[in-house]
Amino acid sequence: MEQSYNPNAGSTNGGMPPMAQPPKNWLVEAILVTVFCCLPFGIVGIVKAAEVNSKFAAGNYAGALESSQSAGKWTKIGFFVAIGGFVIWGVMMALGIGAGLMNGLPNAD
Amino acid sequence: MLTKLRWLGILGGGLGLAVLYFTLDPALFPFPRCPFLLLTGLYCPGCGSQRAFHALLHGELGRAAGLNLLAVLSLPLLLVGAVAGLRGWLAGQPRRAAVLYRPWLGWVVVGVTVGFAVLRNLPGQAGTWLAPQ
Repeated sequence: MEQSYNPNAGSTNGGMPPMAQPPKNWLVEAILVTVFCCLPFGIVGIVKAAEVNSKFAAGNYAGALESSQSAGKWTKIGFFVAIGGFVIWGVMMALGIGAGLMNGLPNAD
Repeated sequence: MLTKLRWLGILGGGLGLAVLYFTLDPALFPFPRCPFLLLTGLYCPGCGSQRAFHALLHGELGRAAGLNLLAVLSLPLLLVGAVAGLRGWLAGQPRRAAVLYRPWLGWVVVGVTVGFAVLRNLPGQAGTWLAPQ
C-alpha cells in the first residue's frame, strides 16, 4: 500500500496495440461509390463497412479485418468500373455516338 | 511520399470535377447516364447525384435534396471522413473518426441506403418525392 504512485501502471496492458484501432472500414468511400457510381458494388461495400464496426466492437478483430478487406475490394471494384464507364462514355462522346444515343433518353444520372 | 502524391491526385481530381460540375448543369449537357437505369429502368441510390452535385455547388440545398436525398444526407459523414483523412495525412499515420466506427451508424447507413433505393422506385407520394427530379 505504501508503494510509489505510478499513474501509468494500468495503461500498458501488454500486447494490445494492434487491437486498439479498428481496421479501415471504407464506409465513406463506399458511400461515395454508391452515390456517384450508380452501381450495386457500393452497397456491398457499405454492408461490409457496417460488419467491420460490429465485429470490431464485438472483439472479433480477425473478422473485422476480413470484412475490411472485402469492403475495400468491392469499393475499389465499383470505383474502377465507374472510371471505366466514364472513359467509355468519353470515347463515345468523342465519336459522336453518345450524343445520338442520349437524345432519346430521360436524364437520370 | 506515395500517399502524399495520392492525396494530391485525389485533391486535384476532386477540384477539377467540382469546377466541371459547377460550370455545366448535367441536366442540360450530355453527362454520362446511369447504366443501371438504362438496363433496368429503375433508379439506383445514385440517380440524380450529378445534378444534385451541381445544385450543391451552387448552394441550392433544397434542389439537391429533391434530386438525391441520400447524397445530401451523407454530406456530414463525408465531411467527418474527409477531416479524419486530412488529419491522418498531416500526422503521417491513419486517423479514425470514432463516429464512423460505431456499429449502429454502419447499419443505419445500410438501412437508409437500401430503403432509399426501394422507396424511390415505388409509386405514390414517397416514391415521387424521392425520385430524381
